[in-house]
Amino acid sequence: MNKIPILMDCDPGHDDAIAIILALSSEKLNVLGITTACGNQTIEKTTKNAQGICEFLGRRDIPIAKGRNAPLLTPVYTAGIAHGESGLDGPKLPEPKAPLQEESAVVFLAKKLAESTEPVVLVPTGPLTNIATLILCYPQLIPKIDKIVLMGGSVVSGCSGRGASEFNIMVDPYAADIVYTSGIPIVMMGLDVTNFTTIGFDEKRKFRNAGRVGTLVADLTDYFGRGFEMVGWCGVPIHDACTIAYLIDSSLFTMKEMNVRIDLNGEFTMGSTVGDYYGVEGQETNALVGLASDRERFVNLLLEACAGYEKGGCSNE
Amino acid sequence: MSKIPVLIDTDGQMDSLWGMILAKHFLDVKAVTVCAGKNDNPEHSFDNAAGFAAMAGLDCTISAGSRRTVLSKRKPPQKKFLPDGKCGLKLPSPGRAYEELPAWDRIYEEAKAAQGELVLLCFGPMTNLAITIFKYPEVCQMIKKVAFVGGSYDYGDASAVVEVNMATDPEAARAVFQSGIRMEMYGYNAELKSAFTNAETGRIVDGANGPYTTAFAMSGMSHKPDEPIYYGPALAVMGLSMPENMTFERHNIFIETKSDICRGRVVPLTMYTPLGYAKDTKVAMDLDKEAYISLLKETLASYEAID
Repeated sequence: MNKIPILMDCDPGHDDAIAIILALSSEKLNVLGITTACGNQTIEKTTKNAQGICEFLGRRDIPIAKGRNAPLLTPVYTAGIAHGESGLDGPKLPEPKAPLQEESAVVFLAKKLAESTEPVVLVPTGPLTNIATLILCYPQLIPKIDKIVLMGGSVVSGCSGRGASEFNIMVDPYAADIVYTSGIPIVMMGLDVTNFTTIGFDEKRKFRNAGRVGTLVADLTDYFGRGFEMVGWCGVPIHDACTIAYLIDSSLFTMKEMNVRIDLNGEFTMGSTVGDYYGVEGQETNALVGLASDRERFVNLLLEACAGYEKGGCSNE
Repeated sequence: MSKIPVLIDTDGQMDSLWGMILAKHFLDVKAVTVCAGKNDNPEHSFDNAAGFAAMAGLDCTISAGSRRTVLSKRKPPQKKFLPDGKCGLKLPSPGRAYEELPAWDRIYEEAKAAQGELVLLCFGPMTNLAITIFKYPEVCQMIKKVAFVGGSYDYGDASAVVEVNMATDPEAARAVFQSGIRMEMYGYNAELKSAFTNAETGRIVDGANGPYTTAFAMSGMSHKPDEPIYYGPALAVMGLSMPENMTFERHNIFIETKSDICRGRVVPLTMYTPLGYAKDTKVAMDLDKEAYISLLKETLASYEAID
């Protein structure tokens, strides 16, 4: 079976880290590289975290390139309250030993797209700064992008940013607009689905029993889950891993095609993804939007991924 | 148990008739006020509302309000109940002529008279309520709550996420929401859940051909074949008088007025709501559809029996 070539663009972040764990475990995916975005924490921190996760997983072979240090037009806005001072507070990760790519994220992405003999799936799980820049700088490479499977936005009322917006889109709404109007097929895993794709607080023990990587996942959810527990949720949403889970097994999710636009000037709606669920405005659809998931199967997929690392080992040696 | 005293504010579209007919039976209607609202021709709003009140048998004052919206911005085109807003129905002569007192003064007088118990039941855009608040700021402390038809917890009918009453006069809605008055929202999300199939309309009408059942059938037939048939005002009256037939959630709601694509959007805020804002809007989420159908069927039948 041909593996799906993907490029991950992320801002680790606890749920980004779990997305990386899931992606690198899968026999269905070929991770061509990881680029980092400024989002959950500053670009220095998210980049170090991406390296740390790959180091922990024994995957120094995965090339990592650092992204832009700020959103396109808006000030840096991070989520330390959710992800901690380091962006990945909680578990202790090893110091990364593999060097970063010399080129920037955008140049790296362009190089990988140009090199690929088949269209590549982009998987952004942070603000869309790098992807938007790629679209602006390398329009000739757009045909090499199969689709963009992103975590971001919300078409109903869930919000994790200011007003009606979700954090990733809120941080760089102009980048999001560039991506959503690019004509590239978009699969949007927003809060409508990710808020309900959780690891239950009572399920963490299963992960601790699944070995070293499972224990890391449990530790990540310990820290990231604090806030959700405090507001009465039953589990920790694993937002970013929904993108990878979709690529591995799309039958886990209920999806709907619709037109989605980015609000760029609202007082309460700036940065929101305005989804025309009923097609009221008669515009062409541009996104396949995740609306629901089979949570138990998602958790099993993650557990199997963690257990898989035990069989294959996690070593850079 | 005594009936809740309400003042009905309407823009004279046909769905208001079904709200008035239920309100006559289950609420204590103190007055009716009218604004131009969604009708393309403002005169239709005022003519229709007076006729609807007469048809519902409401024996109360009727006051004319605003012929414009708060800002003179383009409003969505009228889509429902045919161009006249009353499905071509011939209405009875108004029982009462419009009084001289304008809507905002009537609202204020009724609020004062009800001593804190008055509920404003707003079937259309909230223009008259906003003007009342602008003229009489103290009225905010004199009104028990505003139950309104409009907005949406999720998707819209005027655009992707904006409901038509909100799209028509978002600044009015914002003024009312910002006033501190408790709000009760019967939005498009709940309206869709209350939408009738042709067969359900048939059950309500039950083969009768009296003036009320005929009008109800015409009201349904004025919709295009794939268009959902719902009557928010009737739903709001049921929610207000028989809340046990509905489910509600409480939310902080803000009204977007500055966005070009979300102007009029109802934004329920959660984690990032500024401190100090209470969850002061009760949002209708679902209903007991069978109870709603029975309520309309029995009420229409009782009107036919009177006639």
